[in-house]
Amino acid sequence: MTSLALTRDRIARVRPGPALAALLIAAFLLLFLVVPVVQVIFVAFQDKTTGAFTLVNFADFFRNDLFMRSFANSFYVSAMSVVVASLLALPLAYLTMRFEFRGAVLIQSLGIIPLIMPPFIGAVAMQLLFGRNGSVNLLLRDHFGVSIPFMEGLNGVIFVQSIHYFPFILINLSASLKNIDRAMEESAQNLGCHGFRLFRRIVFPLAMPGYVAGASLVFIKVFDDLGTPLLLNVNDMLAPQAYLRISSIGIADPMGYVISVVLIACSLLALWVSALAMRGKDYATVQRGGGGLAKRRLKPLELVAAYAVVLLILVLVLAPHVGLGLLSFATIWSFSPVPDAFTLKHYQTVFTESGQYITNTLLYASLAALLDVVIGTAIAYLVLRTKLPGRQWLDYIAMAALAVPGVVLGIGYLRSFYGVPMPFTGQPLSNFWLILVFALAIRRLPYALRACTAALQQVSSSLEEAAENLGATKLRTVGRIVVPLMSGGILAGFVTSFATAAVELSATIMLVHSQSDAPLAYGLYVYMQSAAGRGPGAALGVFAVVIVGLGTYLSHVVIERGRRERGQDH
Amino acid sequence: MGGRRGVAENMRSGIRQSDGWLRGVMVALAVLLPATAATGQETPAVVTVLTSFPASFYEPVREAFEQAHPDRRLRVVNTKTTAAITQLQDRAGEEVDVFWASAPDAFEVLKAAGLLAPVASRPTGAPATIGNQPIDDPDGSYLGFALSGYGLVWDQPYLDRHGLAAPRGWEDLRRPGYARHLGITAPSRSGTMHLMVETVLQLHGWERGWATWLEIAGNLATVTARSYGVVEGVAKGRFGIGLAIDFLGQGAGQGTEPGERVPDIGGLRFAYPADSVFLPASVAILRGAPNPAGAGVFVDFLLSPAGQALMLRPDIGRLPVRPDAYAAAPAGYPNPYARETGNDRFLFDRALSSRRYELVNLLFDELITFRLKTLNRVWQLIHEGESRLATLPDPVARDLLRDARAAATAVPVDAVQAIDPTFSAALRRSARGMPISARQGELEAEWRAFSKARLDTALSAAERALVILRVAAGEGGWP
Repeated sequence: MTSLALTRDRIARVRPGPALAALLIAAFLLLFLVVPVVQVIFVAFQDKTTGAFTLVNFADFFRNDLFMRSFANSFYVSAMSVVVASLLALPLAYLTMRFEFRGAVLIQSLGIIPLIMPPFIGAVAMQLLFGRNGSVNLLLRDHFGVSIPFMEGLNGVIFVQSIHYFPFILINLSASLKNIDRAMEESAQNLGCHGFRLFRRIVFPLAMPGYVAGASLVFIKVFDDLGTPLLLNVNDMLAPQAYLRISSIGIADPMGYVISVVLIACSLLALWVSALAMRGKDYATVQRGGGGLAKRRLKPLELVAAYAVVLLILVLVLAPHVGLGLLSFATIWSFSPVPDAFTLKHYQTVFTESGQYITNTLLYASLAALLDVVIGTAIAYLVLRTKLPGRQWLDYIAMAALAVPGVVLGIGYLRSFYGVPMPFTGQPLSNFWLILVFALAIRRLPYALRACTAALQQVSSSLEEAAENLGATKLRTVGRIVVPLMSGGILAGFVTSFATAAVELSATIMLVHSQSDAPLAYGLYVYMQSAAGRGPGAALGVFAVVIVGLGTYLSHVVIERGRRERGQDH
Repeated sequence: MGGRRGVAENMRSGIRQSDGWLRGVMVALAVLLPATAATGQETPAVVTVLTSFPASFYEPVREAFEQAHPDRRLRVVNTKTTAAITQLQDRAGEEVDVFWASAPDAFEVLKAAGLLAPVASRPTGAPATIGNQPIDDPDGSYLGFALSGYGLVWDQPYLDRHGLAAPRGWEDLRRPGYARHLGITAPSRSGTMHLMVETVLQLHGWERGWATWLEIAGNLATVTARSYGVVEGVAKGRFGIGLAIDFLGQGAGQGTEPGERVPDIGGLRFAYPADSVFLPASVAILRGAPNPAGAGVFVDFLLSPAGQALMLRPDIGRLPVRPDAYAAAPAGYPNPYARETGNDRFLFDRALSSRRYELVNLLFDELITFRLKTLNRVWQLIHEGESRLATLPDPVARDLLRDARAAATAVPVDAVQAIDPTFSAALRRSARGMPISARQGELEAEWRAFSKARLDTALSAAERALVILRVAAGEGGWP
């Protein structure tokens, strides 16, 4: 009886406003995330003609050697990307954490630069620099008579992906190195442990959670990525196969769905493995202040070596940017270390011919980002400030989008909305450009949600209570007090969502319906398909990098300012 | 077994051998009666003929020959042209006197191998050339006895049903509309088909010729195991258009496997392609023939008015080499001598053909016969893309489709290599289950890899082009 009374009491306390907001958000997530993904899984287990439950599609998948090879390739590429990315990230992280090193600023920027260029944009430029007849190999062949197959087949994908994604490992690893209790290290040293043994037995295990988190993220990202293999013309990987099946055979073909299920399963598996690795390994620092490893100065020779390593990685990291820049100004760049001559006409071409790509992108990305911060703020408020039953589920479902590859979401949207006619025109709903905006919003929602939740956590609820005590309604409080106080975090969330949505290709390429509705990422993909289009493609790519770079810089500024203001408040 | 032993020796030595006795008995039975009736052993009665012609062709000839020469018997060994060449080159099986077949290049191969004895030209009244092609071998190694046009056989009701126009030339066969309506046989399994392949290769040049065949291959429904399967396939409606020799496509009853009749030939039509050539079907006497005299008599018979008249019989349906024979032809019977069309400037180069005979066969199998499904798919996409491109020019898609076409029509051997004797020396079409030379194995593997890689490239380029074109047309990225 008491529990019933309690429930009734709780229901009575549910106010209609938040409940309505929660219902709207739930409906949105259900319609544009849950239904499409469930639809994909459903179709994978359905007989193509009868619609009955069957495993025959999976049997077909595992019997087909192209798919099995693609599966193996995807796995190999993801694993190797983790390895190569670790090789790049480990020395950098160790250098900054272990030594008094003035190059630390350099390393910090190393952690940002790759992220502002989506890998598929840099892929073509990397081919010109590191390909079989790229600058590096031409020089190597001329001077040493050797060439290195950086970009041959799968190598190219691994190379491009690990340069792009190694910051994930760097950031996570640095964070967990920073949190290591120095007492641990000192205790080990007191017990006579030092050198590599100290690193292997004490430092590395303590840093493990951060490393595993970064590594699994890299694995998932590489496994799901469609753009990079597609641009490098590597078709025998899972995501490109899913895309090619749908785009060449149609949405009725079950193999695209089966591949999607395999992609989701592998994403979940990687998440599970990382959770497993973290379980029971909560190395939360007991004391604050003594954090991080003991730092020491580098000896001169070590310093030279350290700078050499950092500079080498810097060169690698800057290579796609430099290559893309050169390509966008090059007249002809083929079989020579640098372009023959330079021109501005590619930019002219882009602005005259492809203006719609840019305007579409600005429209779609800002709408998607707006949607994200609105939903993100609402979910954050519902979760943190209301007692609505089941409110945590909104958070969980929104975060589940992380495990859904873009290509899977695209396929799910096609399947779910193709049969739905649009009002008035009668066209399939999946052809409507707003669907693309929703896909982008869902893809970026997890990031915006985390930003908004963090922002709300920093707003003291006493300020809201004060407002309500002064007679403000809930809605007015949210509008005049909460949101303005959260504005820094919301803006940061908006900008990151915007910048990354602007260059999303995986879901976009499945959903682009007509050229006039196509965003920048699609235009880039199309340009990069032909030799003649590489120049304008690179110019468009530079534009994309500028958008993402500006966005990243803005969000950085916003976050820093917020941090400083709070610092002053205290 | 006594495979190397000649028929004549067999006859002389009777049935002494224990290992080959059964065949000895059979041969002896076949010859004993006329042999005893003949005056003596000097003119052996049996003439052994190795031929690729079907029974419906050689049976009437055999009957007429034995009637005209009651003292002689014609023994026919029937096999495919390509197998016949291998057999003669390897001297496997029994010794034969006469080689009797359609494909001129087969004769060139045998001539080059020194397997043919000189044969004097007979006064037949036939001109030295038809179109631009010599009828008899200028070196006197073989004689043309009939003419063949090679061309297109189709089922008119089938084409009507599918709303297709009848093809007029080789080039037409590349049309997208004929997708999966075409049937051919493999040149490695049919001398006739080999001749057609080679004709196009010579008409268009090596690279362009292969490009033509590879594109035609995109339209193939099947590659039949034997050349008769092509006409049969058309007749049974398995596909609408086939490539065949003219006698197989004409009239009633011929062309199927011996003993089987084409069920419904009402709708079958045959046409010589616009740039067709007439080539002689020939006869030659083999060097070291056990019965050279009898062989000469048979050749004389074929070229005599009586032998030529046989060509007009509906169950044979060949074009005689003697122009005077056409006087007795039924109305509407094609007369190559009265034909204005045909490519007069084109000279079928038999020597060139013989130099790359096996190479063309093996290449065709690796590039086309074994890749049919992929070729169908690749060309379907390229053709769809190109037709969309015509109404919606898109530079990127155009480049991609050009790449796709280039990759789908590439041939791994260049024209110079193709006629390099050292390059194709080791190439042999081997009997099933027999090991091939290491070099041939390497080359075949190389071609297979080449073909697979190029078709993969073509497929992916064409798929990408189509996505771009569909999106440019506002139809979305998938079909």
